Amino acid sequence: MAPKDKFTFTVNGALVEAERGQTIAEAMLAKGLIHCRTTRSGEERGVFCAMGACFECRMIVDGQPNVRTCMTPAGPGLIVETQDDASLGERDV
Amino acid sequence: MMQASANGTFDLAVIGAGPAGLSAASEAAGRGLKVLLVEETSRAGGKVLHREEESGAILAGAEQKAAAELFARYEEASRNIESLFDALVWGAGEDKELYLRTAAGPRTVRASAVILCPGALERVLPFPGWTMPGIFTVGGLNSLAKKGLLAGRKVLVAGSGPLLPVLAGNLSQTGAEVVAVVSGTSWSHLLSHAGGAFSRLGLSRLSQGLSLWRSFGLRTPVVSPAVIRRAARGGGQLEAETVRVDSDWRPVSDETRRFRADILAVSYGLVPSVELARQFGCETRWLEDAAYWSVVHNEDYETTIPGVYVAGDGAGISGYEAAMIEGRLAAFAACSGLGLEKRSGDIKFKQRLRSRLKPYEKFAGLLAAMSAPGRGYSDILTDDTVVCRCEEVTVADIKRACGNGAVDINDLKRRTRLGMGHCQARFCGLTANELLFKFTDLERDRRLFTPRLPVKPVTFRDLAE
Repeated sequence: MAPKDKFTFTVNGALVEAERGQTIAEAMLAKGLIHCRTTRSGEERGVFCAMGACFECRMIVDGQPNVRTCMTPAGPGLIVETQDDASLGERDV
Repeated sequence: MMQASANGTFDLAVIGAGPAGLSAASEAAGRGLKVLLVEETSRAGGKVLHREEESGAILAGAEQKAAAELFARYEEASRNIESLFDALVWGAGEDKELYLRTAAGPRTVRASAVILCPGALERVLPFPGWTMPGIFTVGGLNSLAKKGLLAGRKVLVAGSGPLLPVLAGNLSQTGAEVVAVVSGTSWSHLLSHAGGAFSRLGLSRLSQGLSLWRSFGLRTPVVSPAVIRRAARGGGQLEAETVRVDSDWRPVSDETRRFRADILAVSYGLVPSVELARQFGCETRWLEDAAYWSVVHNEDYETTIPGVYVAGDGAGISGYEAAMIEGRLAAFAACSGLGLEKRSGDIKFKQRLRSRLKPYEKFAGLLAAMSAPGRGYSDILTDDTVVCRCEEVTVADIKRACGNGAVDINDLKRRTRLGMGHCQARFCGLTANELLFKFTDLERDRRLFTPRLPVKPVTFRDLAE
């Protein structure tokens, strides 16, 4: 296979390297980052089903909350942040 | 036959572009229907088959061959197929009107017939500590492992079902360390399902599984029959305690072991994804031996709703080869149902495909036997174990609601919010039913939650024109 394009994006301000074709969750896992969101009661959660069904992997991507990082391609310059459901006013979303 | 118009009217809509969906769409398009193919992810092929250059993941030899055949048929038929990727069918209205969220905005289409090929979900069971980051499903981690993302990590693999040895093998092959394989099903239980095991297909699969088992090193502990009793964080890693179980999966006390790992993969086989079929009003049926819901269908794969068909793992877990054959049969039936002219080879075509499918019926039985959880599993749950991950509903919450008079699963949902979260009860429904029976005198009348639009969460932007 031909070498893939590499680029960087940020997760909570830290630079993460990714290859074209990787999802945000895959690039994070390669770097050992497994905390995606925090529940209303303060529990940390991360990727679980890795196929877009459980929604545990959701994070804030470029300001948009509830983005499933296991289904979303990583892209250059993307700004990804841990989603804190308690402060998001989750019930209204 | 009708032309695809600006309003989006098709002869046939195929939902899901895995082995069943690609096969169905290609067959129908090849017979002259105007087909819409809708896929939620960005790629065709499903979880097992894919174009290697697209996905960066490894393919075994048999899979390469099947993928090549599948994609060749798809490419040949693609002139008559409108393929939408990154598109979700979130609901269905009257008369096979389909509501789509696409990358280009919302879209409503109409089809004269629909083939549902949604594939499978994993069966998950809760245990104390199961919601921590770093704990994945077996199939979910397998997709990541095949891309080499777990290299250098220590992984504990647990649960039941055919994916355990597959994941363990893929982890070893890509530089991860398999700390142990913990299986709820024992070999003697498997062999007792001799009918499935000793068919030629069953034997060939078992031997593939065994060689994968050998390939990940004889020093890897295999703990069986056993389940993970609890997981906790400690010293920057995950600590898992396993407990030996009897044939009903009831813990045998004092036979516990502890393992440390970076990652845990835990799930208990595959189950058909029936949510979309229920949106269409299709009847579903609980299969006690397989311990899953399946969509009721006749031998032509037509559901209880005329003109709506189901094929592949979404109809019953039989693997990708069966899915490819079922897709063709369902497409053939859809064409007949639409009044397409019969061809001279048709009867032989159906017979040939049905006979190729026969070994997979027994194989499905073997898969189910390898995976189905025992009745005693819930004994390991503690009061504070989370059952509904999305809404953080615990065993204690369910016990309280049952004590207060919950009469069925939908009543339990209203009292506790269980099932109201983002996964829409895909991962808690099975356990919720089991606990309902455990904590009440209710008859074992197993129900699913009332189907409601949308089948997956959508935003207002997705709905607005």
